Amino acid sequence: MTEQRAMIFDIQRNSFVDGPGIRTTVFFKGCNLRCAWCHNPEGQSPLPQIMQGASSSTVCGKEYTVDDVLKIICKDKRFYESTGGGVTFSGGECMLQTDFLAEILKACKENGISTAVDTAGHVPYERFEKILPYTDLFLYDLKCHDSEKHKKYTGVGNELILENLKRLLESSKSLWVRIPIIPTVNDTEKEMQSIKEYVYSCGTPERIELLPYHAMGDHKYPAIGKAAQSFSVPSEEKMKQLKNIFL
Amino acid sequence: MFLELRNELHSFYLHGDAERSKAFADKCFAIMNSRFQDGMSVTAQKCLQYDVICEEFEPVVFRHTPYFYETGVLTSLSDGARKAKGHGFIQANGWVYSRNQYLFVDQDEALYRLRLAQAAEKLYLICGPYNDTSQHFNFNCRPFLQKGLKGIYEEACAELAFAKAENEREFLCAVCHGMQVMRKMAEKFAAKAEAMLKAEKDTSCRKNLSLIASTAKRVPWEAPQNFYEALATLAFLRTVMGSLEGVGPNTFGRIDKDLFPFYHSDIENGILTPDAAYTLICQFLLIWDCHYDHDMIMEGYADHELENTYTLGGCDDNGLPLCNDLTLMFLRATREEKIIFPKIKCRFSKSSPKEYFDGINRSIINGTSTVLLQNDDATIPALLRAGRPISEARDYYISGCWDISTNQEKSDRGSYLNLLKPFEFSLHNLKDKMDAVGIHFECFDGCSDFHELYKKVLRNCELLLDAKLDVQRRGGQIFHKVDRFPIFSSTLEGCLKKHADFTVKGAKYSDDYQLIFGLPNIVDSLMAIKTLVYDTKKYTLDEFFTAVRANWEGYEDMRIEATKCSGWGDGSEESCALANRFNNDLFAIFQNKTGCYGGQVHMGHLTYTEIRFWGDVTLATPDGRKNGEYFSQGLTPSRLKRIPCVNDVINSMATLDPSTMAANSVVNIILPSKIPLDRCEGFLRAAAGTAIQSLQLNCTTKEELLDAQKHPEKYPDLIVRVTGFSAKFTSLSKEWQDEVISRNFYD
Repeated sequence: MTEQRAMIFDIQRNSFVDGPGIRTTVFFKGCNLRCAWCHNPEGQSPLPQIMQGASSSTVCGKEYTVDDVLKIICKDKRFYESTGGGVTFSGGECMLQTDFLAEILKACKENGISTAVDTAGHVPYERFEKILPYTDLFLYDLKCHDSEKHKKYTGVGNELILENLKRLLESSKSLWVRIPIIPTVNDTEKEMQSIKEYVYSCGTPERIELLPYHAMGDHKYPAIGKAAQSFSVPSEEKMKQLKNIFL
Repeated sequence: MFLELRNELHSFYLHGDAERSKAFADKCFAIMNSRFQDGMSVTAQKCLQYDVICEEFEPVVFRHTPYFYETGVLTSLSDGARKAKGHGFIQANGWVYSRNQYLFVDQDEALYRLRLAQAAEKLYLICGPYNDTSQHFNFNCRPFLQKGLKGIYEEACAELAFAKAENEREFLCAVCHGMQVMRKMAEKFAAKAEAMLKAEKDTSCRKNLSLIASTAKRVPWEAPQNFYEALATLAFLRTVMGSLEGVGPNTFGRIDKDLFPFYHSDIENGILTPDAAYTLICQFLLIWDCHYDHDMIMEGYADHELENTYTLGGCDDNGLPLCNDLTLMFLRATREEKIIFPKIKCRFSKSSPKEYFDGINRSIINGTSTVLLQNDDATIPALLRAGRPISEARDYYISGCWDISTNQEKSDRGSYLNLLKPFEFSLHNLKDKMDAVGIHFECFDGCSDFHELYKKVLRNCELLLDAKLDVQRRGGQIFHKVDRFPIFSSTLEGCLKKHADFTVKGAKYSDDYQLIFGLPNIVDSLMAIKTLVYDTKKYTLDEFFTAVRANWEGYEDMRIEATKCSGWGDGSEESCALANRFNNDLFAIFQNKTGCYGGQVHMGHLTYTEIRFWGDVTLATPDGRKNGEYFSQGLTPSRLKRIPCVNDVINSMATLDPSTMAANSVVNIILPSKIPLDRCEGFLRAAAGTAIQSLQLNCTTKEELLDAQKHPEKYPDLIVRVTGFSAKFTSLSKEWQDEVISRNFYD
């Protein structure tokens, strides 16, 4: 193992929402998007930061070696094997720490662990090329098709994201497109239709998941000295209606 | 659903059962005493007991069920054990035992007093021979399903030709007599139903009564011919055998496997539909569930359950997963009719089908489950190592709370061994108590290294085991002079062929099962001593023991340090290695012992409500536990260890060798409410690869339980696994609710 280190703000065992089966999700610190609805705002800055709780404060973010992270991931091999699960690297944006990511992915594969990378895709494609051999599944976030709107709500346009999606789909890697449904931003049939058309013009993802916005991250904003932007939670009916578009 | 049936049963079972049973016992005792003759053998006394109960009982036939079984001999919560549960008097079926039990004292008074002293100090609890209870007897239902009473009668008759000694002939004749007595009892049910038919106007009740009148004349004397008759046979035997024999027949065995041929044949022949089969199953389960008031408050030792079980799932004779229509119907009936008793034991493995897991887990994730999960992948290897052939190992079932059983062995189990007591006596230097119980454990003071201390802990465990086995062996030699069990014995492989009751080694297997109490707290205590005294040398042994002996008063910082040491269940290499070493060393000790009837002694890790009651009377332990605090169940990590991730617990369990635990091991786990079905299934498949054998899985949160404690009206259906049984959370006493709330909860 090299002495590569990564800034990580959480490692969640027993996760059931970031890919198939029971998983360990590793949250890398630092993100190059600023999504207005982000539920992990403590993952945006690449540096450690103080999170002020009601009665105490904690440091968010810690450096890990590949060996440190691998040891934690390997603890739950029996759970991955029994459920078709594995490890998911998320964030923040894990692709910003590509060298570390490639090493840990490789180490996981050497240990027989299934791997997934959860990304917003706003990085040069060369970075994807580095990790492609060791990644079994991509969880690829798409927010909206229109670049201007994308820029308004995330801080960046989506040209690179769409282009990378196209190339990944062409690479025949397993890929799930994940769309956060944010009322007033992208919760229209038109928007979904437009995303659908683009995605299928590039290739066929294994799955398209629509994830309803939730406010469970709101309490973290004041803890890091920021204010949360408020959105409403989409209704079950709305989610059903939008999901139908992809059936 | 089934409201009329429920009402009819409740009005019988929930009112006046004790008075009815006591009056019947008084009447029978007077007759039996008057017919008793000097010099009567115990077997002859038992036949007299059979006769009088058969002659005197008045069959109770219910109008809204097609089953015939109720003798009125037992109180509602009794399973056949002689003592009326919750009332203490001896029922009519306990006449022989109660007449002869003086022999235990007369024949070896010193031993009897020693046993009382040792049991009073909670060194152990004995069931079975020389027993505290007469529960946990697994009547093997299969011979009755396959050949009826008549088949057993004919087999016993045939064996008479080969009987050499008078005692052999007497045993076989008693078996024949027992079968004939049960036949007469069935005929009394038929006559009663016929009489009731004359006045019955309700069409559906007439149908039930007609069915009983025609069936009971033939079944179970003849083997059942269809699905209804098979269920009727099980219902009849459970109560009638219990009413006669004075021991508790507490399982229907592998009901989905054994009844499937009847079901399949009826469906094929067009005489049964799946809907009709489902109704029969509901009616069958309700007759037991309605013995009991779900809202009755649980306070005492075992006052809250009906000791009766059945097993579902597992594998077939070829080792392939078993999940048939009946498996799913029993699960559905339990879920939809909110049935708590009989207790269900669901055998599972890594290869169990998804629909089976979903059938179980739909109740678990909603906090309404009554299932005990039993892991085949850990249990079958244990049975193989215990010397059972693969065919028997694959065919095991669970009876009582968590007794691993096969159809070929005696089953008077539930014998607990409290390893925390020698630990307490030694650490706290309780020399007076050691004198009183006649066992002098080695004290820990002055141990210069961990190895020396560990050896003393093991030696003390062996001293306790030897003392208990000595008591059981010697007491067991008196048992057959006190009581005999011809009907029960005839259901066990070996007894008919050997012409001998199980109390005189008639059964194919005569092994003993010693169920250990205390591994998690002992491992944590050893880890704390090792870390704080011998490794880091932060305290001397003397300083550390001074704090424990003071119940940690004035040493709170040290106590917290002790609780924070690595311990069982946290997944650390050190705690797992120590637990594994301790378990294997205990196993080695057990392997060299001989049981009550000369068989092997198998080891397991579990108890019953002792987690509270023995905790109450045990002084502080080095793991940071204070005087009187509860212990953990079986292999469940201690409540003092707040292990955040359940995966660490499961991983720890994977480091133990399940084949060392032929007497079963139990673990409690609480996952959050309403987790996805897939997660629950995945968790169970992962748990299947570990030493966990019996798993009590609840899905709830501490917040939910605290709210239910405050607002019981909001949680009428919330069910929790307690210790070997399930109960509505709101029906538990405050102390039991607190016990559940003080367990470990995982995200």
